[in-house]
Amino acid sequence: MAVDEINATAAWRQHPLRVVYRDDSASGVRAAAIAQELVDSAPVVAVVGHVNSKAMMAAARVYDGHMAAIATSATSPDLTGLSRWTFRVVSSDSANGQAIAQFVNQRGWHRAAVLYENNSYGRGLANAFRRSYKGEIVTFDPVDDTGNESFEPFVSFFKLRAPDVVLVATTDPPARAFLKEAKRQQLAAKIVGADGWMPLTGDGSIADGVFVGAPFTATDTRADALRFIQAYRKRYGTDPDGYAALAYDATYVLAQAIEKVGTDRARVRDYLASMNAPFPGATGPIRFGPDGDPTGKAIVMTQIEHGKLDVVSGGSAP
Amino acid sequence: METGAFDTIRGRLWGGFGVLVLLLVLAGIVARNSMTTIAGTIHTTLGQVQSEADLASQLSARVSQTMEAGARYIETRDSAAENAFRRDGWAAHDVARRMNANTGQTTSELETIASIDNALSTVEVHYAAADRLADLGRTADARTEAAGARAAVTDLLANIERLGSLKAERVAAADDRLSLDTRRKSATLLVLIAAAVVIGIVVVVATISSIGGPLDLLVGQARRMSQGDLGARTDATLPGEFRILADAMNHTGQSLSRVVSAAARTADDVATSAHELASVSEQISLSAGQMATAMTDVAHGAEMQVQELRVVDEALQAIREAAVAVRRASDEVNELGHGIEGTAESKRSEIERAVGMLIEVKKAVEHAASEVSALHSMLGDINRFVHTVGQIADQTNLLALNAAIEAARAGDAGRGFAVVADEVRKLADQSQRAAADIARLTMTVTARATSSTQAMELGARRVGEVETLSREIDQALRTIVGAADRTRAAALAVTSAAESNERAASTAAATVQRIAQTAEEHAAAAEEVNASTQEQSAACEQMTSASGVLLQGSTQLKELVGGMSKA
Repeated sequence: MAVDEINATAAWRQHPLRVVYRDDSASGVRAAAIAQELVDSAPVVAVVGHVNSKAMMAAARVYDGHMAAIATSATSPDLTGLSRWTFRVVSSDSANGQAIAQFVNQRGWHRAAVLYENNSYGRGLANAFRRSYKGEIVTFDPVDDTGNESFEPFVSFFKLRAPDVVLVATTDPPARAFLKEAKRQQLAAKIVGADGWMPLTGDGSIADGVFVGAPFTATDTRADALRFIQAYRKRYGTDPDGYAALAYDATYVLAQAIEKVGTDRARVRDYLASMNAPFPGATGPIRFGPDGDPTGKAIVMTQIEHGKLDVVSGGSAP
Repeated sequence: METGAFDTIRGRLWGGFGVLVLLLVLAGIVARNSMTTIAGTIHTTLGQVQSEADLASQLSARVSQTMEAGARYIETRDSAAENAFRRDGWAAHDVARRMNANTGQTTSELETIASIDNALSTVEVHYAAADRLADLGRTADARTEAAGARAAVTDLLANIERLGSLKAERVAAADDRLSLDTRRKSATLLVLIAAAVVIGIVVVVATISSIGGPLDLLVGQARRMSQGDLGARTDATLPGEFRILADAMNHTGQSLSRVVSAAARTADDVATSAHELASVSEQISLSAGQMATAMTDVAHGAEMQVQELRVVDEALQAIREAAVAVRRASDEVNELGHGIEGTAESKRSEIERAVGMLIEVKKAVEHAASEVSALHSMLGDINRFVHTVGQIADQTNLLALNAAIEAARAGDAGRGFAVVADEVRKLADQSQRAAADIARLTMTVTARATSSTQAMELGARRVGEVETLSREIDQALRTIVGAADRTRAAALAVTSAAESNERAASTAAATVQRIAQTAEEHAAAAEEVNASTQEQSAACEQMTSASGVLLQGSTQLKELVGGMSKA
C-alpha cells in the first residue's frame, strides 16, 4: 500500500519505486542467503525487513558495509548496535519489556508469573521485564514456540499459586494455546502479552480482556495514524495490525531517504543514520539512534476489547 | 673490436655477482614472507580453534549441567536445583549466541550451532513443564514429560559431537593448507638457491679462464721491455681490460723508442747550447760591471740634485712667508678704508638732514616776510581811513560852531540847542584826537614792519649761504667715500695677488719636494740596480759553471742513449 501511495506522488511518477519481495520463512539460514542475493543485485538500493529477530540477526552480518536494511518488527536486543547499516522502526525488546514492567508496577500487581518463548525474542523480552519488575516473580519458565505444547501444567500451577499477573512473552501460536487453556481453567490472573501477539487481535473469543503492549493500535487517534488506518480499511476492509503499520512506516522512511539523496547505497545509509527531523510515521515519530534503534519510541499498553486494541492508562504513551 | 657489456672482466663479474646477489635477496624475501604468512596463519588458526574449543567445551558443560539440574529438581524439588537449571540454561544459550557470532564459520557449523540452541530450548521446555508437574505433585507425569526431552537430548549430544568433528575437520583442513603452502614455498626457495649456486660457479670458472692466458702474454712483453727490447709487442685477441693493458704497453714501447731518439738529439743540442751559454754569461758579467759603475754615478748625481732642491725649497718658503705678510697688511688697509667709508657716509647723512632743516627755516622766513608786506599795505588803508575820520571831525566841529552861533542868535529859544551844539563840538574834538592817535600808531607799526622785512630778507640770504656750504661739504664727503672704496678695491687686489703668490710658492715647494723624493728614489733605484747587477754577475758566474755541468751531463746522456736499441 505504501509503495502505491508513494508512486502516486509527483516526485516518483517518472522513476517509480519498485519492490522485490523475498520470503525468509523466519529462518536465519534462509535470511542470510536472501541478504546475499540482494547485496549482489545492483538495482536494489536498500531493504525493508526482516520481520523476525532471528532472521534479521543472520542477515545483518551480510548487509554490514554494503546496504542499509530497516527491520520492521524484529525486536531482539541483540540487534541493538549490531551493524551501522541496519535500523529498525520498532522499539527493542529491552525497551518493550521495561515498558510492560512499568505498566505492571503501576497497576500494583505484586506477584507475577512469566512464560517466555524459548528463543532470542522471548528470552530478551522476559529478561528485560525481570530487570524492571519490582514485585515477586513466582515462576520464570521457557515454553515451546510452536504452540503444540500443553499449557495445562502451567495454568494448573498458576491456579495453585495464584499470581496477580501472568506475562506471556511469546509469539501468537503459543499465546493462542495458553489463552485457550487459561479460559478452560478460568484462570483469574491478569494476562499480559507483547508485540508478538499482534495477530491475536481479532480472536475475540479467547483474547478479550488481555493486556497487550503493542507497537501500534488501530484505535490510535493521532492524525498520522488515522490517515494510515483509514487508507488501510478502505483498501483491505479490515483494521491494520502492528506488522502492517511498521512495514508501512519502514517503506516510507526508506522512500524519503531515496528521494533526498538518490539511489547510492552508502548515501542512503548515511541519510538514515543522521535524519534531521523525525519521520511522522503511523506508529509514531521515527528517527534512528546511533545503534540503529528508534529513539523515543515505545510500545503502547492496550487491552483487547471485542477484537480491538483499546489504549489503557498506566502504560507509557508513544 | 666491438666492446659489449660482458666483453670486460669487470662487466662479467658485476653481471654475474649482481644476478647472484639478486637471487639470494629474492630467496631471503620469499623465505621471510613465507615465514610471516605461515606464522600469522598458524596464530590465527590456533587462536580461533582455541576460542572455539573453549566455547564448545563451555557449551557442552553448560548443557549437561542444565539437564542434570532439571532432572534433580523433579526428584527433589530443591529451589537451588531450579535456580541452577535456569542459570545454566541461560548461560548455554549465551555461549551458543557467542559461537554463532564468530566469523569465518562454515554454513554447516552455523547450522549445527543453531540446532544445538534449538535442541537445548526443547530440552528446557520439557524440563520446565516437568518441573511444574512436579510442583503439582504429579511426579509420574513429570517423569514422563522429562522423558519427552530424551529425543532432544540425544539430538543435542549428537550435534555437540558433530560440531566437535566439524571443528576438527576445519583444523585438519587448515593444517593441510598450511603444509601445502609451506611445501610450495620451500620448493620455490630451493629453485632460487640452486640457480644462485649455478650462476656463482659459472662466474668463477669464466673469470679464471679469462684472466690466466692474457696475463702470461703481457708478463712476457713486460719482461722483454725491461731488458731494453723496446720493439716487443703483444697482438693476440684478449678480453677487454687485457686488450687495453696490451695496447697501453705497445704504446709505451713506441713512446719509449721515440723518447730515446729525441733524447739523443737533445743531448747534442744541449752541449752546443751550454758552450754558447758560457760565453754569453761572461759577456753579461762584463756589461753588468760597467752598468754598476754607471749606476753609482747616477746615484751620486741624484743625491746632489736633492741637496740643491732643498736650497730651492727654503727660498720658496721665504717667498711664501713674505706673501703672507703682504696679505695681512693689505687686509688692514682694506679694513681702514671700510672704516673711513662708513664714517663719511654717516656724516653725509647728518649734513643732508641739516640742509633739509635750513630749507624749512628759509621757507618760514620768506612766508613771514610776505605776511609783513601784507600788513604794510593794510597800514596804508588805515591811514587813509584815519585821514577821512579827521576830515569828518573838522567838518563836524565847524558845523557845531555854526550851530552855537545860530543858537546864540535865537536867544533863550536856542539855549538847549546851544548845549547840544557844544556837546557835538566836544565829540568832534575827541574824534580828531583819536584819529591823530591812530595816525601816530600806524606810523610806528609801519616803521616796525619795514625793519622786520629787512631783517627777514637778511636771514633768508644767510640761510641760502649755509645751504650752499652744506652742499659743498656733501660733495667733499662723496669724494672721500669714493677714494676709500677705491683704496679697499686696491687692498683686495693686493690680498688676492698675495694669496696667489702664496699658493704658487706652496705648489712650487710641493713640486720641489716631489722632485727631491724622485731624485732620492732614483738614487735608491740606482743602488738597487747596482746590487742586482752584482747579483747578475754572480748568477752569470753560476751559469758558466752550470753550463759546464750541462756539458758534462749531455756527454753522459749521449753515451747512455747509444746503449739502447731503437725500434
